[in-house]
Amino acid sequence: MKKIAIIGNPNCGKTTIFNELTGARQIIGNWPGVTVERKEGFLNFENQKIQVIDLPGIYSLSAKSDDEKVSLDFILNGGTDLFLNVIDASNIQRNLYLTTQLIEMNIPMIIVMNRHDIAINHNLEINTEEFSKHLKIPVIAINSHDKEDVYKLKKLISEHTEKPDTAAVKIDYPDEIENIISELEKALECGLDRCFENKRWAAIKLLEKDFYALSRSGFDQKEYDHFQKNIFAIEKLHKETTDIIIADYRFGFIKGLYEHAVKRKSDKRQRTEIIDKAALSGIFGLPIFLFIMYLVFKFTIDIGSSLISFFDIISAAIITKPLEMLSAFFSFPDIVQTILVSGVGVGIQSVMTFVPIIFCMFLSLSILEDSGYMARAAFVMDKFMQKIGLPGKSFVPMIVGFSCSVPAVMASRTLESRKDRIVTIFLIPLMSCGARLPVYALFAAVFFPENAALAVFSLYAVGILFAVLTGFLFKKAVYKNEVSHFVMELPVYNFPRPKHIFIHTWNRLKVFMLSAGKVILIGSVILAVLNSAGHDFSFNKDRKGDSLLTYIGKKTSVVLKPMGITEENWPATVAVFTGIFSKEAVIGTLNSLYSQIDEAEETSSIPEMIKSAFASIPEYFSQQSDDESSALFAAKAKFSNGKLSVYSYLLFILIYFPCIATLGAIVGEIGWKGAALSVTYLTMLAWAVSSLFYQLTAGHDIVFITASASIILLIITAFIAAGKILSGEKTNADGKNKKLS
Amino acid sequence: MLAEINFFDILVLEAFYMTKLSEAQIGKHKVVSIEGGASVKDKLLCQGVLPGKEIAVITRKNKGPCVIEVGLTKIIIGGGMAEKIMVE
Repeated sequence: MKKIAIIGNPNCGKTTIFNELTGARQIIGNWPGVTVERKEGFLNFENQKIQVIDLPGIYSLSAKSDDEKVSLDFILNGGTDLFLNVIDASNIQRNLYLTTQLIEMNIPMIIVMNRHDIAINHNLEINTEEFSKHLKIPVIAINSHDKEDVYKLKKLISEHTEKPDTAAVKIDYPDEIENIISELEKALECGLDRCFENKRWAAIKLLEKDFYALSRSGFDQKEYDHFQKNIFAIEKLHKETTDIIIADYRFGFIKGLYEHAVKRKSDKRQRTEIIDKAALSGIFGLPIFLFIMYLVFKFTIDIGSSLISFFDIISAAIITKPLEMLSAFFSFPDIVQTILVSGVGVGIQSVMTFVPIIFCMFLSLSILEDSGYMARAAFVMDKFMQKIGLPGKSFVPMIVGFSCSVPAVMASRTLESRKDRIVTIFLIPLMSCGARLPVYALFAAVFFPENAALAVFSLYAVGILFAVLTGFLFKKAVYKNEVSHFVMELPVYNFPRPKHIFIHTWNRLKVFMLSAGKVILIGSVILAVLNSAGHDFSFNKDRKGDSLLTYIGKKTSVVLKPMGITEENWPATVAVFTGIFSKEAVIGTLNSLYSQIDEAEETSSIPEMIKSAFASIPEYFSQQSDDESSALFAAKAKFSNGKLSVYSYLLFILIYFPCIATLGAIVGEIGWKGAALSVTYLTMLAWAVSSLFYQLTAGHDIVFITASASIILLIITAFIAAGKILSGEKTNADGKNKKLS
Repeated sequence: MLAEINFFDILVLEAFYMTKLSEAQIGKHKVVSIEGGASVKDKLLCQGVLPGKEIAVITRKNKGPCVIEVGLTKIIIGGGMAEKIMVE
């Protein structure tokens, strides 16, 4: 079977093209030895089946990052019949830098200029024939969302995998450099490595001072010294290092080519200049950003939340209800009914309730990205976020975290570096999400009636404070040598393309439903089983009160003792467990356990449910409050030492284990290991902070104070240790590089 | 007339004054050197920021990130990176 690979800059639309070529069935894994995602699929075109590999997005082939190394190795290992070099047509010059390096490798390739629609919109006239004539390889301009364009691309690929053209243009360097190149070519004649079949490329690579190439050159000390002497002579003559001279000439080549083949009819950048005057200004930049964030928030909360009940009832009507009727009809044993109805059914239902919020969230983020504003937001927030070692862009997921942690965790995808993604994801659960607000609000109304608003506000502030501290800890202990060096192109403003945005949003929503949905389902089955099993392991699907979950809650309430939670206040512990389901469940659980009134489940037929689903949308806008707090008044007596104990309990709820939906999203983004670390960190921190708070203000128990203080110390030590391990790996790699130079 | 000479003097002075990009004035500059390690240099090379290139600082925050124009594109340079670029 023929094999092709897609290569290009980050954010050039590579993945969209890959998806269009291969359809839904893809094999996603990792490249051996590194945490770089490897995507593979198959292109079926007129009885021809071609293997397609999506290489990571890179700016150059210098093998300095894992992404670049993986791509370089892939090319050098050979066996690929054709490379698709994807270029962002709205930013050709920068994208061609990678192309010049690919051309020098003499690989079989075609150039795909993506986002042709944007280029046209910017009044750029791209002459692909001219490009093709100069580079001697096929060049095609497409819009990856256009069916016809994709067909043309597939056809071109299928023709050229059989008889591919190899780029054979020579980029000329100044004479001194050319002299060394030919000298090096001779020296490399006896090179052992397959990668040095292309001697000219290898010689240029050496002149770029690429350690990786040097390590494979097989030079002995004498040859190496000679080579260094030559480089030194040139650098003295040009007053510039050889790697920069080479980059300079490559850009010169690109400039010549660009001026030949691209015409700018009229300049649309003026509009961008005007908007940027305001959007980037020192005075208005921040207010504009905050206003836009407010709109995103408002849109997500208002439109998204108004549809939650609709999705909840609809999915109950078409999934949970039929499952319930089915299991009743066949009279399945209770355990099967529990797993099917309360586990799978309710699990799917809870995934569905996230759909409107996540959809609205991603819709607004996609609009911000496609219009080009996101890059400005990154600039506006950069200085502030630098202080906790994150790029400005990561402010957006954090803000989103105030509405719901799930889309927030997923929004961290927009960050380029893995380190930034991990840190951001660690911080997000500390932003009090919308589901935690009712918990705070009701507790505050009951226990702190005089200053309820202040109590709620202080919890939000504590969350932010710990997020900042966690960020600091990461910056100072774990990633101390890694400054977020960010360079990002500021795209020209562009009217958002509806089709593109919807496809983008839909793809992200799909990822959520598949990856996070899986975890939510597993979690909800486990909790459903615990909830209906008795502590003697008997089963009753309608069990209330004496379930295994309650039993565990009672038995483990001792853990919450340092927060002033007494053993007779076991419902508080049970609520902590149900809070893992979803945070607002804390209130529901406490209500039903304190009042021991079982909420009467409404039984209605499917058509009625669908009717009420539609009715729920206007209802959302007309009435908002509910009266769940009544039972909480009964709890007042249960919290010994009243306010302080309640506050530390709320602190615990704020920080501890995120809900399973968030956990699902975290697993989807950074894997099980990262997710496990994150929830362990949060839960330990929650316990230590809330215990310390209660013990310092009311308990004064020296044992608990020592215990919680040592947990905080333990956390800090763990961070430092992680930093040591990471920097250990780094210095090892550096050491290897040093030895070569 | 006098004012014009003064203005010219300032221009001349500015042209020979080397500074970090993170402290540079708004307006045209020429990149002199990139101080950072290989990865910083490489990231900038890919964006077309290399010594000898004319760049224009569009906006800059106090000691923070800045927006510069290179060729036809505008790019953001983060605060940490801007400190490593010397311009004149």
